[in-house]
Amino acid sequence: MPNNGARILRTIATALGLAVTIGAAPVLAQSAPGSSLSLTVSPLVVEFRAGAGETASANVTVHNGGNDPERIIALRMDWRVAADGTVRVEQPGTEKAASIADDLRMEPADVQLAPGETRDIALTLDLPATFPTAAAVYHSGFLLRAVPLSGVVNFGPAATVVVYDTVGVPRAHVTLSQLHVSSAASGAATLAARIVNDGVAYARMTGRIVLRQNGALVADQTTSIPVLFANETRVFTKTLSDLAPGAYDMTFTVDYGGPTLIQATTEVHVR
Amino acid sequence: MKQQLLASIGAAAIAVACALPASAANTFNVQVNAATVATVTVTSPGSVTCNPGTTVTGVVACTNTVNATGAIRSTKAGTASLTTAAVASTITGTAGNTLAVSAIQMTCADNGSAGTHGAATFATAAASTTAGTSCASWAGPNVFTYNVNLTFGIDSSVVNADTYTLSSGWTVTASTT
Repeated sequence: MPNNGARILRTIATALGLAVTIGAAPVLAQSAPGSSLSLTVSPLVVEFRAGAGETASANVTVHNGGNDPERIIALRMDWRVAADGTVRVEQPGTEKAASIADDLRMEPADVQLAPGETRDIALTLDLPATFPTAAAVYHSGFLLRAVPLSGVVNFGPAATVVVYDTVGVPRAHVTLSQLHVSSAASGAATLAARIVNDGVAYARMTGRIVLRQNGALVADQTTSIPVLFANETRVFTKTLSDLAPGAYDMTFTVDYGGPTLIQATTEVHVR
Repeated sequence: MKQQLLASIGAAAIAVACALPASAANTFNVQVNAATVATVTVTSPGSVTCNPGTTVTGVVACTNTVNATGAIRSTKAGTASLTTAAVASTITGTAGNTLAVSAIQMTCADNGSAGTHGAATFATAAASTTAGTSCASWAGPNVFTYNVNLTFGIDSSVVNADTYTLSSGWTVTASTT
């Protein structure tokens, strides 16, 4: 029975984090002892304004705040932002025309740090003369990983350095294509807003929710909205709780840093 | 007339400048340059071991806890996040069975974060991936220290009888955009 893959279990042990080199396939290997590694990276966000045939550079500082020496490895990456704001690391080139991964470099890309040591790493964007000249924002970056000199670690720290490059003066604009507020639970109202970036720049936004009942202010909350790239859509949701039953007017205002604010108003009946 | 008026204004400006007390000239500017930054300190036990035993349904908790501490300063509207990534999408057992890493579920819990940050979201039984699974995120603006515990469980219903050992190289990654 166990031979046919039936889910009958004997002694099954799954151990996370025993092994060999980074990126290797799972294999049996020596056990890594308990560990504590520390990595500080700054800045995490780099914004360049370089066009075709131009070069831009910045320093990225890395620091080993742990008690043991460690190796910092810079891995080129593409990335995008999930709805919750989390950075999703992708293979270089995944973002296709929006990617500048091939034009970015970090030197040195592999550095050893003693405990307490700080080093600068040079981040350079070198765009070829054939790079598009149309106004737009491109992005890629690096994943910086810290590993012990032995290379064996169960769980290690890392940080992303996201790089934007703005070519020309791209138009920034977003629209609010849909706004819906519901009250599915007692004393709660959930706003769902569909935001569309119909510009060619990325949008780093805040959303302000103002709730009034019979003209009286009940809630006024401002929340950051994760980066939204051109031609992308995101549904922003926010729940307000501890509301008394009754009818409310809700105003939602999006500030994307442009010359105008985007605002919509709707009504909700809280149970 | 227009020239006279301009001349008068110019003379007045000079007079005002001359009348300023000497101490007013000793001014200075204060420039604050606070860059985005993240510190990630990951403390892990020798291994996290998941042993479903005789359980064949539901999630079984694994032993040991991984702890992540540090600090993050983000851009004004930048969300700060911690993600955890596995090094391989499948784990091969000694008898040749394979186990998807998504069978290993991660739960993250606040263990004493402090400072300025927006709404916090923590993962509950989130499937592991190689691309990165969100452990915690904080809406911006953020200037804060965090302390987050990561615990794991395994979906016993997808584990065939075997002994599995997963590669090292799991990462806990701090990000902001």
